[in-house]
Amino acid sequence: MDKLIVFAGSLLAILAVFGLVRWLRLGNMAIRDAHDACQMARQGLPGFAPLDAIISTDHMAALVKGADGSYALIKCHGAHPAMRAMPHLTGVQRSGLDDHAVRIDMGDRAFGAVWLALDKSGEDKLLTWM
Amino acid sequence: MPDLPDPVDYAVPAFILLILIEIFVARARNPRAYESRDTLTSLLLGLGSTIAGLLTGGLVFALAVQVSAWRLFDIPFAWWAWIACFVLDDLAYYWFHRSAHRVRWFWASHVIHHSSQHYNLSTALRQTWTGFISLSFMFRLPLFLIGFPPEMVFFCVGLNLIYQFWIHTEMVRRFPRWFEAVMNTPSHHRAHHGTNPAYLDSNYAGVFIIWDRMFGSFVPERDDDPVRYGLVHQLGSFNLFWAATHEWIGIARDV
Repeated sequence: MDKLIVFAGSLLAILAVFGLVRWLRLGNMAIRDAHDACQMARQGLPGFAPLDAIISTDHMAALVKGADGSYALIKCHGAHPAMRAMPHLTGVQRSGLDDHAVRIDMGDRAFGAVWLALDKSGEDKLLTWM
Repeated sequence: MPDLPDPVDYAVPAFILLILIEIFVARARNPRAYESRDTLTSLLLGLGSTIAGLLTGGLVFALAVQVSAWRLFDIPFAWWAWIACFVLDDLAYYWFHRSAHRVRWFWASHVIHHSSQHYNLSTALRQTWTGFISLSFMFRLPLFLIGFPPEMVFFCVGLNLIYQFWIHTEMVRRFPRWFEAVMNTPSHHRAHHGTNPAYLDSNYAGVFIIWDRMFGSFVPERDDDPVRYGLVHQLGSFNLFWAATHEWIGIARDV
């Protein structure tokens, strides 16, 4: 019984700390521009030489093209970027609801699919990359 | 034989207070130091680790008592024995931790501690759920064979864990050189959590950084190479069970 009370108290304390961090709005991040995305890919994937990037219009994800023809898929994960190397550009699907959004699913269930909302220049760039 | 408490139980209120202080310091100095889902994940992983410890702690203690039956010496609860036990336990921790980074079997249970891309006091609470399965308690068996009483060893293990809590912070840059030379510090441990190529597989110390200096694994944190935390292959997920088990699943797939 004592252990159950400690467990419940711990859970409440954890939720309180979570609520505090959320309330203080800590930990926001965004991918500012193509240069920012390229820098992230260079740092996160050793050996990757970025050439150019498409940034989601909400600045929460990016697709970076490398000099060797491979790609880096970046998403904002908490206050930091998480990324995966892609040898080829596969798993790209148009959204049924929004013509200007694409979903990239590498088949990595834990990482999840990444949505890119595209503006005109992003659309054009993606077309040439595909 | 004295009935010793678990010192970690008494340290928990201080852990919570320090996390709260760090959150408010982060708000003023570096708002990216905390993120709500990351913090929630860290704290829940800590709670899960406590539950795992409750389920398996009795078995580990019983094993320690069994091993103690073959002890070489009868070491008393004397002041010098406490000091020797604390230092030798830290040496045992060094070899456990080094193995936890270099042997995939042990890494599978330790990776959870490195799964956050943040580095703050809540990260310290990301502790293993599967340490018992990986048999990581083996590294401390020599202490029981020497003759240190299990109660003394487990008390020192608790003290070691408490020490390691406060070094998980970016809020402290560096201590005076004499302290950095002997003790594990936030600076040394930041490098340990780094994914930068220069920092990989370094600074395994628990309390005393001297072990890394002695066994060639010490790498100082450099101001011109800011630490990027987490895993080389970042999880990109806040799923608790994935954080706790993904490497075990990877091993199973490879076998």
